[in-house]
Amino acid sequence: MKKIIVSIITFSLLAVSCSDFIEKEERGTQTLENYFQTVQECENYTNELTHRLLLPNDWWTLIAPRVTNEMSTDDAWMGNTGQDSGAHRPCSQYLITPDNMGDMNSIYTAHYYTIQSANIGLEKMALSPITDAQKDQYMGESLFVRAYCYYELVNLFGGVPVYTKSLGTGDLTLERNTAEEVYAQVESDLKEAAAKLENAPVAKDGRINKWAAYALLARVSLFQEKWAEAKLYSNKVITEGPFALESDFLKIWDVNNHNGIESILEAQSSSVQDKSLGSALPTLSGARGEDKKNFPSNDAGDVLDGWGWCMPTSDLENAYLSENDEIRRRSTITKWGEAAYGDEVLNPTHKFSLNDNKSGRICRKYYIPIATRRSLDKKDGHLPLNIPLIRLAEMYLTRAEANYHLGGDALSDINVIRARVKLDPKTGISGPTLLRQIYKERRLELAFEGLRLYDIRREKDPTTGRPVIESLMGPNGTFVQYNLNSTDPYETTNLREPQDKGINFDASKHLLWPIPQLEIDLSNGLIKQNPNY
Amino acid sequence: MKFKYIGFFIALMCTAVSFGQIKIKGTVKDKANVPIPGVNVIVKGTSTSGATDFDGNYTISVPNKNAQIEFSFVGFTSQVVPVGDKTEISVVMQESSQALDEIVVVGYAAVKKSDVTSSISSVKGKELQTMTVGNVTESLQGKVSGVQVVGAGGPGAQPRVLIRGISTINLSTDPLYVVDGIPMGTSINFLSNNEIESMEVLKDASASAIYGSRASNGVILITTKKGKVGKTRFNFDLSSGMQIMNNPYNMADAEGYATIMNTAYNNSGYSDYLPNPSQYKGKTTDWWRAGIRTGTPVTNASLGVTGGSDKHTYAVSLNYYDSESMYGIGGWERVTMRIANDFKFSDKFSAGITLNPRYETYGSPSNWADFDKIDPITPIYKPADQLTGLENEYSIYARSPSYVWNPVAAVKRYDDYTDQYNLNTNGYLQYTPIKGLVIRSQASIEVGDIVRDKFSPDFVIDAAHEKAEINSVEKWNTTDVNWTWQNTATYNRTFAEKHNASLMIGNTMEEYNQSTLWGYGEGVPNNSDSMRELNAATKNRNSSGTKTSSSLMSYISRFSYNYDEKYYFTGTFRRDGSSKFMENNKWANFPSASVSWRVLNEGFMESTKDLLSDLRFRAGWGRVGNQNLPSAVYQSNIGQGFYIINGEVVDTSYPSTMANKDIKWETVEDLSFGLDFGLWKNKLSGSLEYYEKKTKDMLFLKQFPTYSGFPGYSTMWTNVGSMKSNGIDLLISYKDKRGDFSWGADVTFTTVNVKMLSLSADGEKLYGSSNRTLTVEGDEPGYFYGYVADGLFQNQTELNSHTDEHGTKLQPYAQVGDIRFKDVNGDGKLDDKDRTKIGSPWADYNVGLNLNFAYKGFDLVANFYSSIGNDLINQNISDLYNGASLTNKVSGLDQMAWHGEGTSNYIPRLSKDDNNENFTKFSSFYVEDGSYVRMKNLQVGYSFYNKFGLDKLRLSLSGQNLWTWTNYTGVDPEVGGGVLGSGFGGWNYPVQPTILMGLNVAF
Repeated sequence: MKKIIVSIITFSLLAVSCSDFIEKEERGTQTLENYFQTVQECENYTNELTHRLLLPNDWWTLIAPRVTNEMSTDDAWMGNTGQDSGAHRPCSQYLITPDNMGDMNSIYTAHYYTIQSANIGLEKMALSPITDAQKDQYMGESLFVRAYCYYELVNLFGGVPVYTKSLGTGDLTLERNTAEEVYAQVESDLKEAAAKLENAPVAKDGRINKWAAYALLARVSLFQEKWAEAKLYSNKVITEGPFALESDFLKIWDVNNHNGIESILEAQSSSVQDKSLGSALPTLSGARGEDKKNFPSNDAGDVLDGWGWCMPTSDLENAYLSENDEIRRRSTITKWGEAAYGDEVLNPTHKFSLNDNKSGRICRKYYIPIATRRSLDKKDGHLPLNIPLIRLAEMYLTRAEANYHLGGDALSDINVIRARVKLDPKTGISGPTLLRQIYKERRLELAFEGLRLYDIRREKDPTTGRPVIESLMGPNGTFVQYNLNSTDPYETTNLREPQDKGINFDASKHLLWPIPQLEIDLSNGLIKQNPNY
Repeated sequence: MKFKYIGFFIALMCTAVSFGQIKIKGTVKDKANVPIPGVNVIVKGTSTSGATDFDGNYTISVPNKNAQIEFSFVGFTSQVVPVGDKTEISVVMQESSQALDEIVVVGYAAVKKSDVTSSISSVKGKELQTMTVGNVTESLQGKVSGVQVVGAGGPGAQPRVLIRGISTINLSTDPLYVVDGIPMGTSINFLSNNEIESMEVLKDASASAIYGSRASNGVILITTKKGKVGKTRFNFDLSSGMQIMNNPYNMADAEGYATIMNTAYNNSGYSDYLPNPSQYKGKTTDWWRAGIRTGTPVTNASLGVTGGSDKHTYAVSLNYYDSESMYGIGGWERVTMRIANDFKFSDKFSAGITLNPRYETYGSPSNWADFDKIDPITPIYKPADQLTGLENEYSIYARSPSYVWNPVAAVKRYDDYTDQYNLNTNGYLQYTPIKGLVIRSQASIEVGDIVRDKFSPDFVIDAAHEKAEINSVEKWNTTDVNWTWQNTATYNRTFAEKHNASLMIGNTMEEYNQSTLWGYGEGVPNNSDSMRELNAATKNRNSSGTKTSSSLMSYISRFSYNYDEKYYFTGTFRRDGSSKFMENNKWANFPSASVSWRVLNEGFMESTKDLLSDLRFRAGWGRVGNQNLPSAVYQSNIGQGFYIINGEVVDTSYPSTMANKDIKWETVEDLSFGLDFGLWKNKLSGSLEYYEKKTKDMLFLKQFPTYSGFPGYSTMWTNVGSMKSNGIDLLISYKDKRGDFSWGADVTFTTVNVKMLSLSADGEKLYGSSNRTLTVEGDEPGYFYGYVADGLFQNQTELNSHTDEHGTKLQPYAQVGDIRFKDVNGDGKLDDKDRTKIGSPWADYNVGLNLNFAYKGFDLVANFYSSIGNDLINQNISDLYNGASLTNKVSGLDQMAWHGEGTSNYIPRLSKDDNNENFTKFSSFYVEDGSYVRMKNLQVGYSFYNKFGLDKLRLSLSGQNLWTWTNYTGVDPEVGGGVLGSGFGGWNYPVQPTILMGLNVAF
């Protein structure tokens, strides 16, 4: 009995003395506080930032908004007429409201997550015990990523809040900056990135390099109509960068030509089977309703059924036809029953479910060749198609457009681009005709590469001085009227996607997407909505 | 039963001296014919007394025939029997309606019910066992005032239990369960209701503060059955029956679906989706019948044996519960055993040990809603011309264009089962060195192993959407080792006759360790059953594992004092040191105090004794905490991922959670006032309580503006303010008996008003469930927030008049038959500022009604439960009434929906495009009255005593959830959910009606 008392007293004393007992550490997880201590940690962190430029293996977060943007132009239909189009319809048909944005919500949240992550990384890496050269490289890459996110946000939503320090809960009283201020930050980040990456190796391996920074500088300069800078940077990339145009246009989007000679920056993919690092784009926008019977092999292994979203318009096809641009037409669009361009032997008559396809056309750029399909155990999530983010041809077109406004030689750059696809050079055009030709060349060259919506929003119609999109969309828009009077055998017979796409376009608001209502609410109204939404 | 035990020893001490004039013998039994040991047998007016032995037998000597013998025993009504000429007097003791002297378990002690000063409700195991449920809290519903239980359907589902409303808005709201003194976490699924002797709900903080940092949601103490002194007794219980799963909706058939969809397409300007609907006549796929069983068996059985001597008592029970799933595969099966041994070595030493091995196996598909949602035209199997004969057995199913995966195929593929093995060992040693001092040391070790095996076969139903190109096998293993050691010393003493005091001090240590291991592999050579092991995987192996540990060390104390059983005071104090607390704040204190005035014992109340049998006032205050936090609260974690550089896989890292450095701990303080009364010998009794609970520094995973870029959709744990909930709990019991007929009724009534007192910033708005609920200062938390649906536009005139003052239409895309949304602020625009409070998920009150009747061998029990005044969001209408999606619709929707002036003012016209956002705008269109009254249980039984060689045989027939009254048109009005997302009804698993037969045998 005494023993018990003694033991209880002992226990109590013991308990007091060993307060270690209530010290438990979290195992197996690194924390932000003690991260960024090694080169590897800094590199891994930067890798993820780079990954988040497009998250190519995630069909929803950034890929879906990207194709939805294409669907909101004259290049693409929503395309899939067999299934619920709720995610794409609000943008594509210009019915969007802050409450109902379809898949356009996610890009806003995702890019800001990346911006905050980049800010954290930049602050921590500045203090990291790694060499200055290593710091320059990883911080330079991080700055580029932040700039890229802001560049997309400003084009989609207009002036958004800008911040360059990591935020805590006490810092969340930001309001919207102007578009000019956002662009100013983008430019400053890109210039700093280029400077930091000046001596970093350019390995063309998916890693961000200084040329990507210069090329994006060229793009954002063009978008701001800073013609001199647009020319300066595009010229720098063309003349000093280690890039060349692919001689074969098909090689630009090619499962076997990752990070090719023309590529300045690509979102990376891999067919490695134990991770889902393939590209989601060929799945989301692949032909819906393929059937093995339509392949010579009659083998189910050749079938890669896509989800059928984002299908080319006959309007885009006509643009190619009007230039007799066979190479780019067939590299961009496969019409139902045509051979898959470049894959004629194994896929001589590419057929898919017409019932599910608005236009009887699919995007050839997103096509996965039969040989690749056969080599994969797992296809979904493992398709090895890199997605170009910036490539050299754009620089020529940028320089051409800048030269046009600066009174320089615009034609020769266009003709470089045309020559590659075996088109005769344009000669003797000038003024509005030349500008329209530059715009058209951009459309033909860069279709389905994520630029069309931004281009038609910022390009000015030489006749009216108004954004090109206003002449295409709306009740009297040329694109709308074309479709309403179209005789295209596919589009006019599959009316489950309305033929009057774009008719609801309202120039007073639709040059930008709305800010998600959730953001207005969560900011307690400090973030204001875009006009007229 | 502890008090019998005590009574027995008291009786032993008073062993009578007999003078031997007339010897009387006999047996004392209870109504159930169970002998009662230890009954006091006194010859009235003399000092002669005795007691019954283990078999209820006694002998006593009386002086003459005029003597009277009085039989008395705690919990039973005393009886006086004149001797007369009899030499053998056997009596049947009636259980007394006096509840006052029951023993109630409080934290780390047990006290007389009359000594309780705080708010504790006690429920006997017997009352809980009238229902056949997997989780005992389901049968608690409506039986205790102040406790809301929201049932969860499905085998093994855990109901949501709220004690006096919510006190936290983001953390778990489940109470802490303490079984036989050992804290067992917030789930009680492992316990069979047959194992329970009694259950005590500690409702206010003055009662629960002794559990400190885990008590903010209240504490439920469970005492399991223990052995009783007496002969060995067997008890066998079996109830078995059918759970009924009726389709909650009458879905359209193939022809009806085609008609509805065509209407929706035509209304949006498209041609028919399914031309010529009549071609589908008679070609409906009845998915429900193909995959859902209307009746699924449920069985609850238990075999118990108890007995013992004054040195050793034991109780052993074997319990079995089986609830099959409505899919025909899987379900939930539980086998538990409880072996309790209590030893009394001497007057000073006693000890006990309870072993509780358990086995559970569970797993079942959860896609029942898909059987309603999938379109009725798609056949179950692919037509013959689409089959080659080379497909595997999982690939012969057809793909629906509705996006809904073939549910029959999904059930066919299902192979995800979990086996759980546990052993709980709980032992104590008790030492009483001097009278009034009890030193007790109790330890418990819980060892558990959970093994989950999952196999996903490869299949191709649709090459684009519904397929798995390669099969995979997964295994999870979770090992838990938790131990608790607690030591208490309790000293009771009465000073100067009227001062009764008791002091308890003690300390506890607890440690929880969990280790997990996960393995994954693909490319198992074939899908046959014998290959479904990790070893067989040939490709893409993966694995992960974790080890977590938490600990808690505490000092506890309680001081109770009463003066002359009139004035009572209890104070408790707990100091917790927790590994979950943050660096600078490892220790926290949790005090409480409560007082009670037993008015009835005052001299001036003497004259009311005939009327009043109890009258007490109580008041209590206490503070409790909430340590139930994810580690992410105080730690910014790095997540790991992958990307490709130079064609090779590289590691990536990113911030996966972000810590809030300024975070503080959530505390709950509450104040309660109570009145207990009993009238006419407790024929009518009850209690009325008012409580007020304040939660400070509420922790919430708050969503910040998304530009913040915080991980997890810009969320971070933060203190968001404080909240008050208050209300009343009322319990009224009535019991009466006329001859062979006895009856009783209990009514419980609970109100909860919840109000946000403050938020972290002035004018802050806290959104939940995306932005469908809003929480602002001064209003209830998480109310439904959206547009006001003001009927439908019945005609063009109405449509044309819904404009601003310039004639601009407020809803440019609206057509007749669409919803008219109200311009609430009247600014001539329809925008986000027109959203307003459109409903409340919080009930005005909950009422429980429990009735019982008995006549001779018959007994009848009926339990009702209701929730009145809350709204629910019927999310399913966005599928069932909406022409924009291709899922199946309710039958006759084309006629129910607006199709001409005056045809409906509720369901908008069918539309493929829904350009008016009838369904995508969150509006009062979705809000329905969620009030309901449900008959939880109706049971009729008949008992035979001393027949067929058995002490007792009872047969019963019962129905659970047989009848529900509600205006809610969704699946089931019992809807749970988090606090800022409460009341969102969807395809929640309905609480199923169940019909059961019961058998109880005692011998």
